[in-house]
Amino acid sequence: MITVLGLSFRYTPSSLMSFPDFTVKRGQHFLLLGESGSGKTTLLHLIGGLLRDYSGSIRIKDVEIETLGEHAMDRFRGQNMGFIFQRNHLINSLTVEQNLMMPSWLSGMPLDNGRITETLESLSIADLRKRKVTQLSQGQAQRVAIGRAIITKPSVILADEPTSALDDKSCENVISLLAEAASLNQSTLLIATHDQRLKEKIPGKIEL
Amino acid sequence: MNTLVLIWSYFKARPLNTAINILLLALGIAVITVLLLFNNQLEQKISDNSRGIDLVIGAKGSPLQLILCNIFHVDFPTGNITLREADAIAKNRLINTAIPMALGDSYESYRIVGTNHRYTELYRATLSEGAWWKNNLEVTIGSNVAEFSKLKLGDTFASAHGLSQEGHLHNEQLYVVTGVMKKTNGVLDNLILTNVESVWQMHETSGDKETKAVTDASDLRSALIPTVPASDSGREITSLLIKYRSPLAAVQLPRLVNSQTRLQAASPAFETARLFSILGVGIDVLMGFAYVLVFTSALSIFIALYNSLKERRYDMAVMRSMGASRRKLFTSVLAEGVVLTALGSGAGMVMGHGLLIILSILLEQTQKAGITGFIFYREEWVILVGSLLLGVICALIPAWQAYRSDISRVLSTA
Repeated sequence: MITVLGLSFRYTPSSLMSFPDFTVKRGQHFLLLGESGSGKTTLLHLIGGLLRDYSGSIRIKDVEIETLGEHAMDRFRGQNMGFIFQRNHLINSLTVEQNLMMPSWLSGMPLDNGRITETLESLSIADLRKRKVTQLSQGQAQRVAIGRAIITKPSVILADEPTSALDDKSCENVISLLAEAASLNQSTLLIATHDQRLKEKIPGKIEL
Repeated sequence: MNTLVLIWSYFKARPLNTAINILLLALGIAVITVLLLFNNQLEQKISDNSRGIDLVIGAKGSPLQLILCNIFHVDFPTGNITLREADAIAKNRLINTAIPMALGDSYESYRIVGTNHRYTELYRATLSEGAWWKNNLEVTIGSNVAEFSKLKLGDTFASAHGLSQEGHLHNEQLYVVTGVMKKTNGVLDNLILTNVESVWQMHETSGDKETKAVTDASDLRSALIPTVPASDSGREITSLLIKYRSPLAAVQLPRLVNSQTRLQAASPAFETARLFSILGVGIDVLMGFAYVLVFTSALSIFIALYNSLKERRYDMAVMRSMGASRRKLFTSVLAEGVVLTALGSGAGMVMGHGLLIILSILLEQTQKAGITGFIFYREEWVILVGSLLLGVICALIPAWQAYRSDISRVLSTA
């Protein structure tokens, strides 16, 4: 599903970041572990095509993503990847339901009402459907963010420090929700984190 | 989910900001719309009312006053001219038609005009009921007169001297309404028409009622008022409305008339153009004010978009992560500006038309002038398209910023 080979990236000509080779198969869950500044976010953004111009190879679903043009990359990302960030970054002016509609609208994929219901129910937030995002608690917002990442059943879910701001209980909740949701949709899950608490939850590990 | 829903949600998230932007633009557009409607209709009325009249001949005085008084019926007469002088002019072969006007009295501030039926033909007036005046003291009234003064067919009334309601009442003799004209949306709507003889009759003191019998010889009769002899030197009228027979008249006739000591000729086209150049200054000032309002609102919309985009850079970046292309973000920000200005200019036009509609309901004066809010001009499309363009311009820089924002950097500085 994801294969990284001889990957390196320069923010500036003088700073070279190199990444280890690894392969993640479909449906597998992996942690990208490393200290702050070790390049976890950079790697995640490279895989997600948010950062371009790397040297080496990143293949996702057998596509070398560097070969995709910018617009094609946007589509590819929209149709195959779901992102989860440390902060939820929901669109505050919209309702929960509208936030969940965003990915399929932006990536041009079909979405039916049933899928929204299904997603909300799988995260036990069906009652929040019409709620404004600003009226949600932190935990509820986190669930909506997960819902938004999985609603298009992406092949790859990329999570950047999803738990680092959370207490132990919430951390456990979020990671099990995320793992469950990923398994349910047979998505490959890649979590960039320095959060040691996750080590025992997720079997696969890539150290940077 | 679509762009409009998203834009609308952003508007709703900052209601005050959105409202002030829309209001500012709406005010500017409303002022422009009102001026446009008012100006266009006024010009239309003026050209309609002076249509077919090439020259007005009356007593010496202000030429503008002569026009305002005898064509638009909004000013006082410059004085009288004798029927003999008028007859002499009317016989000129350069003249196609000469319509006599005898002004001076009014009823409830509606002017009574002594004239002949040519005057109604000039404006293609038709009757809605009754008949045209025939005998002395019979009148045919305009539609506004009928509506506001409540005069009906067969009603009698006493005229007042001058144009005010407090003028001396000519109580001795009463006019009788024999007909009501259909609305012409012109000056006739506010007039009471009768023959010239009636106006004379009103002003005769009981002593001099010795109207000379008309002799059979037609050449002795007045060309303008056939019932009186041409030699009747005591008769006076206010003015003559002239239609030329040939373009040559435009050169010769005014000079001919103005060379006579007691008469002057005024051209409606020239005098109304002069009037407009005077009024134009005020209109230009108001227009300038409106443009300042529109410019301010454009600036305010630009600042609002610019600031809200700063707040929304995460929204933008997240949208990119969900598959939105740069172009989509660019167009959605542009759309936001366009929707905002569309709402503003739409509201402004509704306000502009609404204001005129309310004015025409509340103010009898506007109604009498025939100014209405229920009219649309092609120029309004220009305003609409112009304001949409303004929206695009305001949104261009913010949209460009959205287009070239570095999503990776935005997302990693969370």
